[in-house]
Formats: sequence, structure tokens, C-alpha cells
Amino acid sequence: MTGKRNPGYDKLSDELLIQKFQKEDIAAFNEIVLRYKDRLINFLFRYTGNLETAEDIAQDTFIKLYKNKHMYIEIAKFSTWFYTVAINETNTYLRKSKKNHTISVDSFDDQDKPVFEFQSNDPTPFDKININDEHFFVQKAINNLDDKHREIIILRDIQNLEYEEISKILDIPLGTVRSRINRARESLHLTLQKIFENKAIKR
Amino acid sequence: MTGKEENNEIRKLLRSLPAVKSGNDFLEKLDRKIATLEPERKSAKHFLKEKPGIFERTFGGIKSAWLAPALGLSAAVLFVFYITFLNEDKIVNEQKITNTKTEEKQEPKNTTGNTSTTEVSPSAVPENSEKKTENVKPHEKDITGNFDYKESEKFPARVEQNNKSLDQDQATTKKPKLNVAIPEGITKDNENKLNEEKSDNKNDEINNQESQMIEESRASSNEKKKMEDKSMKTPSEKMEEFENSIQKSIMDKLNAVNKANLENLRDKVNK
Repeated sequence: MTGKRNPGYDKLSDELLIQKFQKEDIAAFNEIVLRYKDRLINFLFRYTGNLETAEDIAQDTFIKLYKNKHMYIEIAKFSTWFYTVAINETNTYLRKSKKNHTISVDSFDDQDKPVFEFQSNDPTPFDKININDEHFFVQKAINNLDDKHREIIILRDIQNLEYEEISKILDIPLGTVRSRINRARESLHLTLQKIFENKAIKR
Repeated sequence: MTGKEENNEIRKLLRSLPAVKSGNDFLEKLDRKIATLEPERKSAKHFLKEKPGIFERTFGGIKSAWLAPALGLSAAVLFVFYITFLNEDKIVNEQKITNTKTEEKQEPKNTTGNTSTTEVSPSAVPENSEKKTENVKPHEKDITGNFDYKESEKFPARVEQNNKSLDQDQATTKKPKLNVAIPEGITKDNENKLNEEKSDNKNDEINNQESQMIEESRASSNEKKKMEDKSMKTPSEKMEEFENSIQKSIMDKLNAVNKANLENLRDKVNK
């Protein structure tokens, strides 16, 4: 795999690419990797809060695709199937590494201690990614959400997936998707409110 | 702020988050991980090739090696079937031939003491037979039923040669006698001589009859043999039938010959 795009493959749909890859066309796999790597890493980074972990999980996901390419059947969209694989892979990874710590909102009361503990301590992903304070605290608020709300709000508001696709990925009804997204946004708003109030008090 | 407005603000915040991109070494790491996968697969295949199963080891590169024992068994069964059923007749015939050969070798030695026409060696038959016919008188010949028909079967060449000699004798003896007319007032000595000659002629005729009968019996036995070979009887049954038929034919012909001899003797006695 060279990382260079095969001419003509960029115009092909995801489904055609995976079909070609199922016929042992490595160039098609290369194209899928190039097309999905950034999207996947963005999703995984927002989900895990750690870039290295996100990259590891993304690589594991691509390897899983490489090994089990014949598992894909052209019933659903490739992106739907691929996100499902990625979420399952993330859950197993986090379960194995036992780093999937949920953060209590009460921890904001401790002024001297760091507000959030990320899964990877050094260096923080925010050091690598040049983001401002607002983005930093938004990410902290996302990480504070429980798994269900976190994954659904990332898929909808960061990955910009449709409700129907989200319902297929998470295998839940469409109504549940809508209500869960609303609840996730409300809880995120509350968390951010607390963070910014705390910050204002600090200042 | 209402709930909808709050949601919209959150959505804007989330969408304003910068898109995180993969590191520069992401593809290299992925390549390395995939590269470690492929040798594992190859090595697994290599391992499988290096360690073949028991059948493959024993029967070499046969694809369906498990069929080899079954094929071997079936071949063995066919071989046994061929030996037992198809080759049975041949074996019996060979046994017959060997038996006859051994008998031929043994019996001439045992019967060398008996002086009969059949005991003469085949090479010496033509000369000796002529000499005998010349030297030995016809009444001295064994016409009382001591003729060994079994031996005559075993030595057909001799019998044929004897028959030839007999025919020659007949030719020499009969022709002049037929031409000679017996005159009236012949002397008793001449009558006795003529009677002796007649008896000799009769004996010759009997011998000819015997030889013909032997030949006929041989021909009939050969035909029967052929018929038996064609029929699908077991070898032991065939042998029994063959022996019985030969015995019957010989007995019939012996009886006929004996009758003819008896009649000749009666004629002699009457005369």
C-alpha cells in the first residue's frame, strides 16, 4: 500500500470499491483507506478523546476490513457497515485496555485538580491538535457524556450522518435515535454550562 | 433560551470543532500491520504443505489419497475372482495333462513284460509289425480279450501304426485268396490249410474291427470332451462323466469284440 490514489478509483462508489477489493484488488482497499481514514480518525478521536488510541483503533478497523472483506454484503451502505465495525472495534479495544473511564461531573468542584482525566496522560491530544480553549472544553464535555449519548451525538453533529443511517449503525429505531440525540445535546449543554460557570468563577 | 435554540448552539459548537486528521505515519503503520498478517497466512499454508496426512505420506501425491486402500482391496478381490472362477478350467486341463504325462511315463515301464501288439515302441512299430505279421502266426495273436484298450487310448500312434500293418497284411493275404477258387475233390490237407488261412483272415478282420472301434471310441470321447468343456459343469463332474463315458464305450466295444471272437471260436469248433 503506497498511499497514492489509483487513477479512476476516486470516482468509484464505496460499494464498487469494496466489490473490487473482494476480488483481491488491493488498489480498491487503498482507495477505501484514503477515503475513510480521516473521517474514521475524527470520529474515533471524538469518541475516545485520544489521538493515539483513535489511530490504533482505526488501524485495527482497517485490518478487520482487510481480513473480513467478504463479510460485507451489499444490503446496507458501505459507510454504515464500516461505522458499525469501527464502533464494535472501539468498544472491544476500550474493554480490553480498561481505559474507558467515565468522568464524573462532580470532579469540576475540585479547583486545583485537573477537571478531566483523559485516557492517555502524556502528551494530551490537544497538544498535538492546535485547538482553542472552547474546542478543548467542548471535547471535555463530549467525553463526559455516557457511551450511548456520546456515540450518537458524534455521528449526528460531527460526522453529519442521517438519522436513518445512525439507526442502522446502532441498530435502534429511528424515534429512539431522535430522542437520544436530543437528550445527548441537552446533557452536553448542561456540562458545558457547568464548565464555563466554573471557569468564570475561577477567573 | 428555549430547548431548540440551545440545541442549535450546541450543534454549531460541535460543527465548529476542527476535523482531526491522521498522522503522517498512519499508512506506514497500517502497512506494517498488514505485512505482518500476510506472512502469518503464508507460513500457515507452508506449514500445512510441509505436514501432509498419513494417506498423503503413504500414497504420495494422489489427490484423493483415501481412495487408494479401497482401490487396492478391489484389485485384490478381482484377482482372487479371476483365479478362482475364470482360470479354473485352465487349471483343470493342466492337471489332466500332467496326470496323463505321468501315467505315460509310469505305465510303459510296468507293462514291458507283457507281449502284446501295443507294447512295441512307437519308433520300431512299422518294421516290427511287418516282421511280426510275417513271423508270428495269426492264431498266436492274443484275440481272447486280453487286448488293453486303455493302453490303446494312451498310445494312439501305435494303434494307428498297427492298423496300417494290419491293412497291409490284409492286402497281402486277402487279395490272392479271393482270386483263388477252391476246386472240387480237394485233399484234406489242402482243406485244413484253407481253413487255417480263413481263420487267419477272420482274426485279421477282428483286429481291424477292434482298431476301428478304438478309433471310434477315441473320436466319441474327444467329442464328449469338447462338449463337456463347453458346458458349465464343475471340473470334478466333468472328469467323472468323461471317465464314465469312456468306460461305457470301451465296455460296449469289448462286448462286441468278445461276441465276434466267440462266434469265430464256435465256427472253428464246428468245423
